[in-house]
Amino acid sequence: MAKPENEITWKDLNVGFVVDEPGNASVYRTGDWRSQRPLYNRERCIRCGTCYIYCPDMAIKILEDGYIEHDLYYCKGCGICVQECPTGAITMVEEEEKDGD
Amino acid sequence: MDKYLDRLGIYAARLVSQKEYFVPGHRACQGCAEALAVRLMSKASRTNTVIACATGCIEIFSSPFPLTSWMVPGIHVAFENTAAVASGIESGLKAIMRKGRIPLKKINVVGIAGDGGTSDIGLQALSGALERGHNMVYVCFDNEAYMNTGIQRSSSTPFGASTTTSPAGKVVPGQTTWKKNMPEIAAAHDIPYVATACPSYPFDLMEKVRKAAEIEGPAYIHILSVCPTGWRLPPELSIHAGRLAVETGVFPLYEVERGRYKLSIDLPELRPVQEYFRIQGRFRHLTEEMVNKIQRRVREEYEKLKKKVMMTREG
Amino acid sequence: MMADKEVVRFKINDTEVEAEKGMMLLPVALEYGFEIPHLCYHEALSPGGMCGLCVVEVTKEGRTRVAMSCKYPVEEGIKVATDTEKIRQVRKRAWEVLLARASRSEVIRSMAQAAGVKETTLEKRDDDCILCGLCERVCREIVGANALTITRKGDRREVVPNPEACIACGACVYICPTDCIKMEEKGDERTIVRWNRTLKMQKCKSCGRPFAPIFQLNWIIDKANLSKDFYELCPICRKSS
Repeated sequence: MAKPENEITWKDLNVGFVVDEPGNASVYRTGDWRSQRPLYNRERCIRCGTCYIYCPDMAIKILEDGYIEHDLYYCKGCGICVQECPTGAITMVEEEEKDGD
Repeated sequence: MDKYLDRLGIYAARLVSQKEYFVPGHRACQGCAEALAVRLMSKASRTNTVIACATGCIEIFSSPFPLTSWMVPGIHVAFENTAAVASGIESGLKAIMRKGRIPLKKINVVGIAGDGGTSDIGLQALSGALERGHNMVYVCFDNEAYMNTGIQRSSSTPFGASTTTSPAGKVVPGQTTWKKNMPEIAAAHDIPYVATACPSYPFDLMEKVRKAAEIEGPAYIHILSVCPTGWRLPPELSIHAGRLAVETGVFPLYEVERGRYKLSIDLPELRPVQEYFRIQGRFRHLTEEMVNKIQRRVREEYEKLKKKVMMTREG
Repeated sequence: MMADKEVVRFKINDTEVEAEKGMMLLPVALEYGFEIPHLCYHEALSPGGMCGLCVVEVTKEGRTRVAMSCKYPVEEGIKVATDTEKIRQVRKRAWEVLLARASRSEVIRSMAQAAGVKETTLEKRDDDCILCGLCERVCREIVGANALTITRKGDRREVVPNPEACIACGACVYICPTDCIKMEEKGDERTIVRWNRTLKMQKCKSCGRPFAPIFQLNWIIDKANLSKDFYELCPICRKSS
């Protein structure tokens, strides 16, 4: 896995702009961008997978039993899953203020 | 049409592979339908793929050096030569396979560019590549402006849309030319497969990418990518906007397979275009007269398309 | 992020591979790029073992036998061969069985031809269903409507619908590998042709367009405990309001 961005120096970069680690962008925490976060109501979920297929950030995982889990490391809080869920099982709430990390 | 891929409202999403070939951590805006389209395309084309990607939103958000969201090999090309480099990759692979340097294997060569990099500056290279008949797929991700550099107009910007270089003012109300019909231009090159797609219809999009990759010869796919940032709409409505674009007839979904036109979704009646314009800030200035003018033209174009379907029907 | 699962190391076609304990051979082989034909396997469903195409030879502790890779769990130290003479013979026979089961299917005929099998001497079924069971499995394991059953009476296997239970969601239409389950929409009715299930569709209160079968919507309302008028509007009009 690549070093987090703020630790990379010019010495770590490949010559010629060659990127030799596929998918190393997964170190980047896009979850920091959020101003609102999804809230999942398991009771209302019919396990259809619609939220999973429409997430532009691949931040929804379908678990073994068919229910879902949001990956808050990546979730940008766009709200598409809320709109697309056929039963309204997901709602958006304000992201809390966090001190430090 | 047989599988009614657009009607699969529930449960079919559970049957899609859980493996992601485009990983999270990319820098697309919240709610970017283009990112979703790239994700779906990658799911359909999987690992045996080489990408040639032009400068634009996709290249910037998917691969900010030294990080990349791609799981397949690729090359960042200059703004105008996606199709040229993709042709080169295809010919190069053919040559080294013939010489036995790498084992014979089906490798999908996919050229990716935005609407600027396709219908504007990329048109020459595209036309050449399609004419030469390379075995490749060209995908145009159309967000209807030069979004990456701050929402400037392109030839794919629809009539009446406000951008920074076609601003809506008192005298000139936004874009003054009609959207360039790229799928028709591609079809005119007599290639085996042309299709339009939208990530709001994910199964349809994945099926079309799969078909395009399988077909021998050049294939062209035009994907409407809703841009909440540039089109001025709330990010959660990206998918909804894409659906409206299709159901109002503004962006019809169809395929042209060896000259045969086929509609991908059955729309007995088009929704009024005002439903589509109403949710977007870039159309906020449209007068009733303009909306009617656009509505008429959209209906006309859709009728033309339906006639082509009838005319090219088999038997 | 992922719990540490026990990793098993073995060989496929002389290549060292490794996989999580509990996985079956077929998905692991496909992941590594080995080509093993399969028709009744789907990663989201339990293994079928009905098409017979995914056979491989497994050598374990000196003994070699033919096994269906979709149902064989990975084991430490085994040697798997995907393309031996014996396997080719077994697969040829599997194609003949499929051709007999679905004698009307063009899809199967062209697939079999590509695999080098042109005809079958077995008794033919006048159908285009290969009895892979994917439709039954998806309806039971994922949708939960349980609208299909496979009756097993010796050599007479059939997929039988339970028409009152079908919600016409189209999952079986989507997953069928031979495309023999078709969905049709005419006016405000949707039909899953193979199961003879026609359902009236709900018309949107705003735009008037039929968008989903009423029976399906009521089924969802029941499952998710929603209000009775939850689906008065179609998905598009609901978002526009």
